[in-house]
Amino acid sequence: MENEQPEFIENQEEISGPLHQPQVRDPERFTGHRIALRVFEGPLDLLLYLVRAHRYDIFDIPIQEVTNEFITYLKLMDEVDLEYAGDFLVTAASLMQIKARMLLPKQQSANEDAMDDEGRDPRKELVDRLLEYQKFQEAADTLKDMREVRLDMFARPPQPKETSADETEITAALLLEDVSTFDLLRALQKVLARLDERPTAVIRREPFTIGERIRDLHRRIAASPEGITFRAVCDDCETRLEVVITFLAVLELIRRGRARVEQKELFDEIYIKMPEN
Amino acid sequence: MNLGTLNFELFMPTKADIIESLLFASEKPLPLKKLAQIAELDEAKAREELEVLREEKASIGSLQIVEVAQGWQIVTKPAFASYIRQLRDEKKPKLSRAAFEVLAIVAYRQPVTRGEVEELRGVDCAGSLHQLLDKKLVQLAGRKEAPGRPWLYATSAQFLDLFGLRAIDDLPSLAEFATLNDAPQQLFNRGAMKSEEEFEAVATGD
Repeated sequence: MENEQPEFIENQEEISGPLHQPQVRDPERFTGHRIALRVFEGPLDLLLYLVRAHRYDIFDIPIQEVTNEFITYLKLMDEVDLEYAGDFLVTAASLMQIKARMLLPKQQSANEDAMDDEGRDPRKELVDRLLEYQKFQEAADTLKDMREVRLDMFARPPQPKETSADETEITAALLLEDVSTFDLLRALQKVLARLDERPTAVIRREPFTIGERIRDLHRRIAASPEGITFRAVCDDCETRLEVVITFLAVLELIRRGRARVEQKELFDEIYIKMPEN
Repeated sequence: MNLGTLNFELFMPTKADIIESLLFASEKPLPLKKLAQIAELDEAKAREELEVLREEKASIGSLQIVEVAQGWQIVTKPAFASYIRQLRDEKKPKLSRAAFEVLAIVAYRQPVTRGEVEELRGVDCAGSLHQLLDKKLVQLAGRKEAPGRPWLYATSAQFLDLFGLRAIDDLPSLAEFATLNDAPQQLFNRGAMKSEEEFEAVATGD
């Protein structure tokens, strides 16, 4: 819906005229304006338009005529945009269903009293939906007006603070409600980057397993109530693999509820601590 | 006597002055509570002062005081919008017709699932919802305990601010729009007809 193609916008002027005229009975009028298709927000919008354009009584919609026009429109649209047409097909189907039910003999017996098996006008459901949708269209217009008014009022922009360049980008919403996995990953990246700076000429055997690391980490966390930074935890790591193992150990401890992570400021050190209780 | 008052005012700012200075210096809407606290007033009194200040500003100058969801704020009057846009070199941010419809449904029916919004509009709404989430006008509000546990959507505090509302209750009631139920003719007043004259012309030309 949103990705309007430029050609539609360009032709807006030329289509707005005929569209707002109520005589749309003649299919010829329609075929000339393929570009107008995007004007409708959906099948209900189109239906409301048809009702308005012909000044039909919404509580007594001539289903046959509306259905014909709707389908004319649909055929036209089919050539243009199948995906967009999909939503209209559903409505077209229910229109035809209503039309069929209206044609059943029971309906011919009387006027007001004539109702179908469930004691209802087959059009009722559709009309209710249209009226409901109409309400929200009105509400949308009102919201639009409210926004227009508000957009014309300007507050003083925030003053630049003495912060580093990348910090000014950070909005209040981003500031730490909790530390996410992404933050942990970022910390991992930092440590890995630091490792790359170290000389890596010596190749050693893997000195510990994840299980060992978990036990070791848990002991270290338990011993320091103020927590240990992820950086400190990785201090004895000499290879990328060891950092990865340590990182996995931290994740595992968090998963088991044996540890939690805290960060005071964005991009600050992440502390690994014992859980609250 | 007059001179004395003048001196007094020169050296002792009034509460209204203090409040004005706070509103000017604040980068965000200022909550009443905080404002009252700093100005050393109780909240009722602070509100009174604000109302006086608001009226004063409304009658003169280019600034006005408004109350939005997150507090009170000094903003420019709408008449100056075109000048300020030139200064800031910016255009009005656009929102599509579809987005406004979806926003209206979310605002009045919240919390609401995407399926419920689509049922009402009869059309796919994923794009519009994403646009609204992106602009932080709409936020996720948990999941509905229904098959598939779909996400629920609600309007954000930012929505209230950007639409000049203090609370969601400030929205005109949906029942006002519902009066159309009683007067189906009014359907024609929207969209299809541009003016009464045209309406008449069409009616007679038929």
